[in-house]
Order: sequence, then structure tokens, then C-alpha cells
Amino acid sequence: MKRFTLLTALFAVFFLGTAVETAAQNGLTSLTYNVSSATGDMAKFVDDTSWLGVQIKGSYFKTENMALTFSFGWQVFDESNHDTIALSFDQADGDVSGFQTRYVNAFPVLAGVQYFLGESRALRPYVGLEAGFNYIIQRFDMGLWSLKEQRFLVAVAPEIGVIVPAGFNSYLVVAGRYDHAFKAGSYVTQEKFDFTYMSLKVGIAWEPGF
Amino acid sequence: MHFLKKGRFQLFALLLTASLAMSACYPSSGGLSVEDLDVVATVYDPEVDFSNYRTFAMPDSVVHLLPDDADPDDDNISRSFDELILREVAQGLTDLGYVRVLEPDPDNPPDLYAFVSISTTQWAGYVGYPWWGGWGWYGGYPPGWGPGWGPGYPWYGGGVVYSYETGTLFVDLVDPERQDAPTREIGTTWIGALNGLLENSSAGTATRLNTGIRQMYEQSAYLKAGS
Repeated sequence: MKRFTLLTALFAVFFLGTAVETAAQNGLTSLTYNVSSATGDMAKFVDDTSWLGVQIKGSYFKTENMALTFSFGWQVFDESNHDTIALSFDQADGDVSGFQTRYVNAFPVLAGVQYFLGESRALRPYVGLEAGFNYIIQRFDMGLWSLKEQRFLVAVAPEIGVIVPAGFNSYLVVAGRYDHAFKAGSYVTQEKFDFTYMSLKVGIAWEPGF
Repeated sequence: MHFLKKGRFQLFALLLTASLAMSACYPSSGGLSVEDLDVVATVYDPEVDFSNYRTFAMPDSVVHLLPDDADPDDDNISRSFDELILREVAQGLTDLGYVRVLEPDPDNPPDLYAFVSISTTQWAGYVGYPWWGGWGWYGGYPPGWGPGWGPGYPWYGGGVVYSYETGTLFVDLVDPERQDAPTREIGTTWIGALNGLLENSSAGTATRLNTGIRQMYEQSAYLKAGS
């Protein structure tokens, strides 16, 4: 499975590289550092703020204001606690407690559109919407036991942000993003849930000739 | 001049993302103490109303659970902590309001029997040294070597062998009124289990046993005896 994951990631990167380079002829390539926080039922599994995240995105302008996008990201969530977890079986109930660590590694690979306001080479607010898949690795460590599940989930991600000219054909990027991966497959928890998280993105974007 | 030429960008992106994707990140793993590996699990029959119980009795020894084919002489589980375990299990039930019956009468049995048992498991593993597999891009260096070659440890056999021993303490609360004669089974109403890594420190083990047994009762609020 790990080999399959790696091959998929490599394929995605190759595709991304091509798409981004194409976009770079008539668009923007951006690299952002992302800080995220889980929302909804995902926050019941891992609630701590994620300080480990990165995303690379290529935007290919079809018109002055509209661009096609392709992005690849990686966000790491982790949390440790001593929570007591309720268990439910067919003919019994129970609880389990102990030091536990929960992880979610999310690798969204998405394509979509962005709509920019304003004119080229100026401060430009934008909105975007992407869809694709989010490869989720969910792990739960407790005591001497470790449970891990990984799967591709259908995902969407609306985004709103602004690019600010910074000279040398480059821009500062600040954006807010919501990633939503729809539940499917196996989970390490008894309950299945959508993986959802909000991100603050800060980074740079550059045009051809940077 | 482009900052990143096409080929360079793809190579950069490929290497960057491949390095990210090759191993997911688990930043909180590591740095754990032996106590951090202790887990307490409790399971109960939800149809049982524990407020109907008031008394309990328990044997004065801890049962050592051995594999079916094991020779009893092979029992090497320490009895150093039996007294402490039995005392803590009984104290916990007393704190929940149960009255201990020291000499149970078969004609008038206590409401519950508490049975305490222990099992241990030896685990062993081996970590090899995947020289060429892990450093594939060094293929051909030094000259004459290649995939399939690797450093040898003729004095040791290669790699690192590790082993550890885990133990689980079980506490069963059994209702003698719920026995099933045909199957010769007595109905268990509650099971508490403490699982962890065994260690050599007596003080550490005693503290962990105390904490773990108390946690069994703490996370079982429904266990309170009737008045």
C-alpha cells in the first residue's frame, strides 16, 4: 500500500509539475505555508491546531480574471491526550483509557477555478473552488497498540484570498481555505466522519520572469 | 531569466514531494515513558444493574494464565506484586460501597466474586540494515558492488534483535446467580484489564499497578454498589 501511495504521489507531482509549468507561461505559481484547524467531527478526533502544512498551486489564466488551477498540499494534524474513550459492542459496552496520540496526514490533490478581481499586476482579491481527492492517513496510537487506515476521499475546497504585488513579478499570498473530504472506507475509529479543516495560507506567488 | 527552468522545476517538485510523500509525518511519536504505554480497558454487560449488588468475595491469590500447552513449571511470572494487586482490587471495590465477605458460604454466596489473573507475552523483533534498498541512488558505488550487497556482521548475524515483555492484569466480577450449568459458565458482569510493558523497577511497577487499578474503577462509575 505504501508503494502504491508513493507511486500515486509521484504521478501527482509529475502531473502537477507539468500543469504548473504550463500555468507559469500565462499565470501564477504559488507556494504557501498553511496553518490549519480541524472542524466538525474531525475535531473530535484531532483538535489541536496544525502548524505543519504546505501547498503548491499552479494558476493558468484563461482570461484576465479567470484561472484554472491545480494544487497539491500536505497537512499534518496531531494531538496527544489521556482521554477515556467509550466503546460499544453487540452485547457489551466499555471504556478504554491511556496516553494516546492521534494523527491525520492529509494530501489534497485538487483542480478547479479561481476568479480574480482587479487588474493584472495589482492587488487582487480572489475566490476559488477546487475538487479532486484528498489522500488521508489516519493513525491512532495507544499504549503498545497502533491502528492505521489510509484512503482516497473525494474532496472539495473553496478558498478566498488576496495577492499583493511584491516586485520582481512576485506576489505575497494570504488566503483562507476550507478543505472537505467526504467520508468513505475504513476508519480507526468506530464512527466514520468527513475530514474537514480550515486553513490560513501565507506564501508567495510568482509569474514567468520571476 | 526564469527562476526555475521547466526541467528543474519538475525535478524540484518531484524531489520535494517525493520526500514528503515517502513517509507521513508523526511528530508526536517518541519520547514516551513506560507509564505512557499503560492502557486500561473496562467492559461490562449493559443489562446488569450494579446497584443490586452489595457484597463481594475474592480468592487470596492471583491466577497466572499460561498457554494451554505450557508446563506449569514454566510459570515465571513474578508473584512479587500479588499482595499489592489483591489489596488494591479489594480496596477499590470497598471504596465503591461493596462489603467484602472473607469466608463465603456456598449456601449464601456473596453477590459478586472478584477474580484476578495475569498473563504475560514475550515479543521479539529484528531490524535489518537495508543498505542498498534504503540508499538506492548509490547503486554502483563503491565499484563492484550493487543491489543485493550490504554490510555484514559475521560476529552477530546482521541487524539488531530486540525483545520486550508485556503483561495484562485482568479483574473479573462474576455474578454466581448467573451461572449456566450446561456450559459450566458463570456470568461475568464486568472485566477490567490493565495492559503495559513490563519493567525491572519494582517501585515503578507498583506505582503503575496502583494507578491502573484505580483507573479501572474510576472509568466505571456505573459500578457503584447499592445501599
